[in-house]
Amino acid sequence: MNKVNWLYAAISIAAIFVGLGLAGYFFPQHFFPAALIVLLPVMILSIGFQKITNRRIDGLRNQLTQIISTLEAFDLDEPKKVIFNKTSYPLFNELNENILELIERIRSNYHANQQFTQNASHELQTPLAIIKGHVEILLNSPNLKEKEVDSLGVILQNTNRLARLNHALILLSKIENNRYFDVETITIQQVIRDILANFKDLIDLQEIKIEEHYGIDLDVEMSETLAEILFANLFQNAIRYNVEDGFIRIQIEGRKVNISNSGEVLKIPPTRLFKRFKRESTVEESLGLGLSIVKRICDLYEIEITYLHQHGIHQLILVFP
Amino acid sequence: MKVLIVEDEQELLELMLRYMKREGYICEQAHTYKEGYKKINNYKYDCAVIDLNLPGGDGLKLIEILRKEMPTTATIIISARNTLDDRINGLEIGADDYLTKPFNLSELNARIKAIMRRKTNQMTNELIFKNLLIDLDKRTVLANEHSLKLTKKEFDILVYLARNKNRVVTKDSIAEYLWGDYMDDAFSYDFIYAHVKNLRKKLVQNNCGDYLQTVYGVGYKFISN
Repeated sequence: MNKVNWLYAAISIAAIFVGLGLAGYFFPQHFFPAALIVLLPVMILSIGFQKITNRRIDGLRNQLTQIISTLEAFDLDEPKKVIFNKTSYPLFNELNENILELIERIRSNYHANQQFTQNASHELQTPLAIIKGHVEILLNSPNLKEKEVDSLGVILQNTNRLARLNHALILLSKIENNRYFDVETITIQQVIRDILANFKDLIDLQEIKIEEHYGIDLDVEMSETLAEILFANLFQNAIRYNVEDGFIRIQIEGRKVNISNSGEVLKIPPTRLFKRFKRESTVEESLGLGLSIVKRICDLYEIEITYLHQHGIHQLILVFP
Repeated sequence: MKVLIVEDEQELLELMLRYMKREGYICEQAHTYKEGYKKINNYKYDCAVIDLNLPGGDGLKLIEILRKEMPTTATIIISARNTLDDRINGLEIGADDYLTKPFNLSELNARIKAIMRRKTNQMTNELIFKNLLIDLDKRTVLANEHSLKLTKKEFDILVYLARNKNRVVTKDSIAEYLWGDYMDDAFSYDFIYAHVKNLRKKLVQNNCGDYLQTVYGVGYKFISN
């Protein structure tokens, strides 16, 4: 029972006592019939009030649940417009309008932000190329002292980091803006085989064992470039975070691709793995953008992706629609 | 060899000119679409390096014109546009190669050399470096007439270094050359180190060990003198 109901119960009981008091005072000899006549309407009224209030409370609760579930389902990246149903409560209508306005404002800020990232990264390409070029030329000038070469090395290394970060940001914004239209039918097994071939030497050097269990060909409709980027990122991680004499196992069953590998336990919670700039810090200098690129690509093609860690084995499971 | 560079960014243009001139090429420059158009109409070049975003027009048009009028000219696109479409368009129109900014000058240099070799249709596709004889078609190497057993990546590194002889070749440019764009350098440096170590061991065994010099913290260098 909620507060309002208690209030009604209290008022009803008070009314009953008052009614009984009045009946006893004015009609002492006909106390029972009089009491009945006084109490009956009070009881009916109080039950009626309770019903009406309960219905109103339920209505309000429904409104709130609707707002909460709409907000929960809201995704900034989805261009879908947020819609609230008109209600008979003016206050809720006003609240909904305010929420809609707020969402539109957030969305337009977000898009402006995206646009800015894209433009900025694009404009950064040329100056980066110029810095790199000058360092390359300087590196080749005669009579350089060791210290100077060291400094140039540091400049170069960091310029490269910037360039790589920039590349990743451009890629992300391109995926976000749906700029990959070259959708075709590709076979996942083939994509994986090509990538493994490309990384073969890295795999051999670390003495990682590869186990491949390919079922029937898994054909999907997606951009080949993005498929390559997706799996290249996953395998890079599987190699990078592996241990010596480790393994990578690829299992494809139906539309499910399971990539598991040996490796040390992650220090960050798996749920945050797909957010931008989160990285596993045991390996220095890696960019935290790899997995968020993976996530974006998965979102784009509605591929379900989950990460599991059990008994020292990392597992990434992709389910294609 | 005559090279035309069409690029609107003055700094970048000068960098490329400086690098190319050291290779002994005769270089010309153009900053705009119009300038580039005039140059390719009036002169003959062995190679043209063309930026796509030019003031006054699209670099792809220049490539198209070159393809028609001067099919022997090798063309390389350099662009900040790294969409697949641009890449495919560029290569379909007939460009010989495509480099994305920011690229390494040593990479541009290696690509120009590779293309020129293909274009000029030399009978033997060989690279000679002191006592090393590299056969680019058969992918074999003779060191002092002994055959070297190299892995694919070791061979690629050797060719890349030989094409950029007497210059410092940075680790990141090797990484990009070997694994393409998707590879993180920090990750690949260890692997490059391992490959170069193996390559050096094999060169040492055949008395060519002193060719390969490490520039500490930066990269490697092939020395011919």
